[in-house]
Amino acid sequence: MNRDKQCSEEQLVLYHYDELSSAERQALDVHLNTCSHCRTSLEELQASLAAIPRPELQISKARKLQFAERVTKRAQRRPKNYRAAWGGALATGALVFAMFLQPTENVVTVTPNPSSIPDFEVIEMLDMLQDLDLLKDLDLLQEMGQLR
Amino acid sequence: MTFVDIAVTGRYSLPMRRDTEKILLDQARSGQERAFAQLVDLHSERIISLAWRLVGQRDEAEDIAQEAFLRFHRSLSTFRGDSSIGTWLYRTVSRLAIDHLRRERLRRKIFFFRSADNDQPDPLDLVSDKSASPQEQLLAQETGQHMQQVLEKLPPQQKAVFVLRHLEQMPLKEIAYTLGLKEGTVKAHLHRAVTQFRKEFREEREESA
Repeated sequence: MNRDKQCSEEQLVLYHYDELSSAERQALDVHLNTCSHCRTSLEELQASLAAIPRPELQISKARKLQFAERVTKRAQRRPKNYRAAWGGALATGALVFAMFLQPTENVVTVTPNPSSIPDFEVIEMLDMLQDLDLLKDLDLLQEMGQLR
Repeated sequence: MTFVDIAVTGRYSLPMRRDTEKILLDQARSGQERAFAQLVDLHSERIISLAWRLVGQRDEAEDIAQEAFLRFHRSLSTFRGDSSIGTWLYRTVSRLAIDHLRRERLRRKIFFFRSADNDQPDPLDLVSDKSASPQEQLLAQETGQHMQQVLEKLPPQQKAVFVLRHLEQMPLKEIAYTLGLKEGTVKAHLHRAVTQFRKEFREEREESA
């Protein structure tokens, strides 16, 4: 057996998928001519990969048409700038919330502080908006790498 | 950044198709929804099929494909055409599917009490063609189920690399671009996925022997 780094299983996988550079492929071809162990490994690999089924999804014309219609309808309904729409909705919500917190005549008035509760709520809601984006794209989870 | 185009299947690279696409794209940009619907129709089969191969269930695949098309619609005004529409959609649907798979994994981790049986795809979703004979449907169901069971065990990125290379026959360089990974990482994912598949199929052969 003359198995070396050139003939690792990963190299054989890349050889099978024709993903080696021409120099790497040539070197491996030379090696395979002299190494029966690696030749057998390659044959086994190719046989097992050929046995993996390739299920196909057939979609009828009617279903394709239905899908296209559904997507087009949704596209027409959906606001083009959804971030702006979200921002607008949250800003309106914050404004309404701030109005509720306005002191009435019968209540002891407190001098409004620039960093008071309404501002804090707005910041919290903006944070929530960021969280919504994170939930959508899961970039944070990708960075955490825990789910790979 | 170098942009690559999916030419492996040939269907996206036909010059006539490119011309048609360009006309439809211009019309869609000018607000003609009929042209957008035609673009969806041109790409839907391949995009839904890719999503289905990645997530394993037809309804979820259609939802992911729909989201990709909606994002494309939102990007119409900024779509520069550095890559073809097909490539753009492939890239978007692959990433959406990976996000979906990660969310599913997280959900399973959180709701650990969920039984393993519930995680299996609906067998009806795996039947490839509703108009096929019952025998063909059964065969498609069995092969699809086994394939899906093995795929379910792979981490999302590994699964995506395997599906794109083995089933979609996309070159590794394009997979790296599509998934935003380094080529070396893609090679390692492919190797691990192939090793896992061989292990599963070997075990199955030994059990049935």
